[in-house]
Amino acid sequence: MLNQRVANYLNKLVPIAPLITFRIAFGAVMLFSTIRYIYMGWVDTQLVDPILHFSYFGFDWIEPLPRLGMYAVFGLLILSSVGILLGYFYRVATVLFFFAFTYVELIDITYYLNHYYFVSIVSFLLIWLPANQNYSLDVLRKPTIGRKKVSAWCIDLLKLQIAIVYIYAGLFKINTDWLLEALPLAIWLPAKTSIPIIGGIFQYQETAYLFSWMGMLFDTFVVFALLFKPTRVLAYIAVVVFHTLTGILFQIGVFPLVMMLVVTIFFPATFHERILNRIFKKLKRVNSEEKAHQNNRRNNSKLVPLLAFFMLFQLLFPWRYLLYPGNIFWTEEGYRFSWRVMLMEKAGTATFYVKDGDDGREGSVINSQFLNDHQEKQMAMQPDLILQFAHYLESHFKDKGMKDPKVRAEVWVTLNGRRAQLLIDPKRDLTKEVDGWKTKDWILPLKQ
Amino acid sequence: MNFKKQILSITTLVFSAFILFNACSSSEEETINQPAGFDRSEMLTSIADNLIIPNFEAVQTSVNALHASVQNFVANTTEQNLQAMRNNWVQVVKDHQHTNAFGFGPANLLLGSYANVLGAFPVNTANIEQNIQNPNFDLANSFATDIRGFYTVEYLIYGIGQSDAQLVSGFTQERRDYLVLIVNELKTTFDTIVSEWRGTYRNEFISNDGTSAGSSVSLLYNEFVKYYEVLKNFKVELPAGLTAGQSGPDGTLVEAYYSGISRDLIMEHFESSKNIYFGRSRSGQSIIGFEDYLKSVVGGEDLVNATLPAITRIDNAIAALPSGELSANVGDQSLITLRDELQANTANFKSSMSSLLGISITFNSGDGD
Repeated sequence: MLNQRVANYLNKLVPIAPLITFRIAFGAVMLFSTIRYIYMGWVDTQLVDPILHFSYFGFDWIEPLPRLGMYAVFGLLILSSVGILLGYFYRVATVLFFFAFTYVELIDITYYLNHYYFVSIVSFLLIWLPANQNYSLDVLRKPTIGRKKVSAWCIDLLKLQIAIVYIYAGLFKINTDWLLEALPLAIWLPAKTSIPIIGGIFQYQETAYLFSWMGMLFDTFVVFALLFKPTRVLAYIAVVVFHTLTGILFQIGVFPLVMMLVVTIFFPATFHERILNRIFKKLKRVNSEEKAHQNNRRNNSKLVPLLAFFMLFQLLFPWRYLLYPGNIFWTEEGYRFSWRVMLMEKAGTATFYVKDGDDGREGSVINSQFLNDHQEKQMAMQPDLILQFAHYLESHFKDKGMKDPKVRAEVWVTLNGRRAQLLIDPKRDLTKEVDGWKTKDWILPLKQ
Repeated sequence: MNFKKQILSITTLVFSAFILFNACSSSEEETINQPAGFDRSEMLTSIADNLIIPNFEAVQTSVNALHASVQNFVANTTEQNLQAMRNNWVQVVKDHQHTNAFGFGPANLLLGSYANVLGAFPVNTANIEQNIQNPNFDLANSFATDIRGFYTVEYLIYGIGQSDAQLVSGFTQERRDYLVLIVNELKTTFDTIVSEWRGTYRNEFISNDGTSAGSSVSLLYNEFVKYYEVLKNFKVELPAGLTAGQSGPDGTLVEAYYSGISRDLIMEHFESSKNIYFGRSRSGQSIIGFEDYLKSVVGGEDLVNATLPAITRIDNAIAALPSGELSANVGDQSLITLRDELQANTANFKSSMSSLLGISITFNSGDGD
């Protein structure tokens, strides 16, 4: 019975149009975002110039290429975004984009953003979805692949992915700091009073409370409102307003635009068909007939379980924090890759002391001689990055001839306006500690 | 519903939203009348008019006096004129401590903040001597900071242990030319900085009253913290041999090694940090500073109360520095105490303050939704 229903669902066909719009929008925004990244000079300042990079756990073998190589990777990103946008050598383009984008992200964890993670995931999913099989240059090249319908799960998969992002972002806003203290918005908003027109309202605490609660409700429920026809238009207006506001208030780059565009996948197929037909009116041939469709049904037997497992992982992974003791904002054990966005105002000052094991001389480290401002800021509040820097210092001073360097760090961190406290044990020799999944016993508990 | 209309309105909505927030992030530069709450523009005005501009004018005045005495010395190379130059130079570097944290806007030179470029120490005496002998040396096209600026002048006019008579008699034409070259750069630089501050930059500074990266508050704050750390890292820790990898104290690393006035400069430097933090003109008149700003935000009062005793302890530690030349006393326990006290206050100034005030430090995207 259940099997039958699953089988029926997997065989269910729906119009391909929403997937096509998704492909075009995603390709276009990624193209824009890549060009913007280059234009801002970030290839140099973030990837090429730094003396050292902070790596992701398990990915310390990822290294940046020399300058020319990095620009070549960005060239590939541009080409592959165009490929996705036009549906031209789509499979190659999506694979290239996924690997190139993820590679760039993996170079330095201090630039981690949930939205970059989202882009990696979406580009991975797009590899497996036939988003080039209509309104694409691939169909012009090879008309036999053209189709008007696609398995329903292909579109639902993307909806589920978007749903995970919003719902988890909403659920994780349900905590005392966010709801009862309106933190960190009560800190951030008063700093934004010089924004034209609406700036005046940000000085009031009530605004912070209103935004906190509205933000939580929006994130948690917007997907449900998008799913149902009567509330859909209203929900979409809320999406636009919400992301516009966050875009005005915070330095978050192109992501408001990304979300506003990808969310249109919740609109009915007829909506997408009309857009596409209008855009492609002159390119009638691209809009191919359903000639080869019958022979072209995808073999889902292997793909579907794989993608289902992937989504299950996504559903479960954000909850791993429950396995760690202590306050997740403080320890950040299980914080990343879980759609916790804009949840805390945290900053630290980390001073490292290197002791020569031989003569016992201890000296402090001038962080700015090794790190750029952004790296130092991110490192100084995240225990695993503090550990990485300590290990870097160990090898740096070994290279300089110190036989047995011991590294400790005095790290004062303020979280959501609390007075700064020591984040880690300032006496612990960090060269003896290793990063891992296990809880870090050298992190001190958050007081109050 | 008319479909065309529907699409049109959605596209317009999305794109006008996008354009709106892009426009907004740049239009923060425009003057906005703020209602109640803390008025950052007022703080910026207060600091510009009572601290930044008068302090740069003071440097300009003392640099011009130095310039005149150098002209005098070059025309008439006597011990008396040497002494006159030194007196003027001491005033210049004392005044410089009160502007070193304002190295943005007009004071952000091609090679970086003016204090990094013209206030670099220790200077490279070997390269200076080489440049003096090199008739083709081109200062304008040199990127080196350790062969120019205040402390190159110091090296030239104080020498390394010669008597004044020896120094004067050894002041060859090439040496005088180099001195003039270096002092001319100082004069041009500060004349320009002052005229730009008196011109359009003042308004630009005051009206860019947001808190995002590149806003005046962010510039002011970042440089304030940077120069507080310069005091700790480069003026105290390095000479005292307290930096990782050093084998011991090194008196040659102090600021103003040749004149021996390092202790006075440390005092002036911290005075300047306090003026910016408390909101105080150099002459002691109360203005609006970061402390006032902090008192207006969530958690600010606590930080203000914690910072106050930390600052007093730094004052005491500075007062306890040995009164002789610092370079001869860099192994003294009092330097370690001063480093510890400066260190104890670093988090207050650095992370806690920026966090409570919501000031963006870099242009990188923060994590958002």
